[in-house]
Amino acid sequence: MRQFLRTVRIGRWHKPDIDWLAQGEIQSDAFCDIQTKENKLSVYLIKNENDLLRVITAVAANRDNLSNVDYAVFDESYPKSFGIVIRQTEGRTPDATVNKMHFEFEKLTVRKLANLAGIISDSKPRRILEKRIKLLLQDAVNTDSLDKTRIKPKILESIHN
Amino acid sequence: MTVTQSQKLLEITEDVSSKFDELNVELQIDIDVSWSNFFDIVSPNMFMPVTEGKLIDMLAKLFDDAGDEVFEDGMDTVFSSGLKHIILNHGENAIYALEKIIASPHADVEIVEEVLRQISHIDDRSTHLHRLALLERELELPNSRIRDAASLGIAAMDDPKSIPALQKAICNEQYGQLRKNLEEVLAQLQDTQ
Repeated sequence: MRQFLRTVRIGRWHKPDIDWLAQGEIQSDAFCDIQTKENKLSVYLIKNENDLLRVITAVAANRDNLSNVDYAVFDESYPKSFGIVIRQTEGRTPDATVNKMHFEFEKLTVRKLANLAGIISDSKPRRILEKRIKLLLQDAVNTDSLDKTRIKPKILESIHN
Repeated sequence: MTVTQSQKLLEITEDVSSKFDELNVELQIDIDVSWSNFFDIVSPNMFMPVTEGKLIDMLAKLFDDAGDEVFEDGMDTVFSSGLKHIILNHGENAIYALEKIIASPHADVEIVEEVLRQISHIDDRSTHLHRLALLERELELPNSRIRDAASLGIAAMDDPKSIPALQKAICNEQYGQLRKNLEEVLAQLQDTQ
């Protein structure tokens, strides 16, 4: 089963302590995690756990600093069912293989974004802690799956410490 | 910043310990300087001990300026750079001031979350325990986003001293997803131990 992966910040998807949030609603701060540019949103298409870890590692390698990665995965059929246009484009991470897994949701409308927020919320976003991210990055650097010239110095320094 | 302004700043720095108050006034009145620019220009030794009130003012300005920022995990911002500089230059006093600011009921949750993530990534032994204690206290707050960010900060510091605080937080946690995340942090710290 193929799934799309989108990075998020889990806290923005929390519900329990917001007394004004009605059943089934999502706090609007969640939109920070699906902020579009030119009505497009970046996602990755994964087939299995190996793909998932590889994408997470590449995304982490593309940042300024070492950090946890929060993410949501959802069935590839869901966005299509809401009429979201999907197009494969080249990713910009330091991992050439992951860059081939990159897609964009295009021609997004506010209604489609709201539907997408529902999909992400229902998927129950997950997390990989920073310490494990560091191990994943170290492994990826050692096996040359990441282009070191495209990794920020602070990340390289962190994973070598 | 103009050449004249830079020269003026340099003149002021020559006797900074006695002129800090003057510098503070000059910066506020005469120089239109961004935080990132400010920290490029001002050397760390210019930061002589300052009053808690001034530190609170500096941090409050940083918080105000960050009001419209959307934070992303692992990405540098003007806010994160400014916060780290203030803590590295003012040590414990900055943490005390920070505690007061984030305890305000008006503090922006998004910014407080960012504070809790950023303070865990400061390489400074002198404030390590104070920062850890701050994060542990935030685990007890009613806002789940704050508790979550505090747990991430604790995970990043990876200090087993926080194990009792985490165990207590897990016992008290009503929100299933957050409890699971706290348990993962606890497992990590136990592994580190």
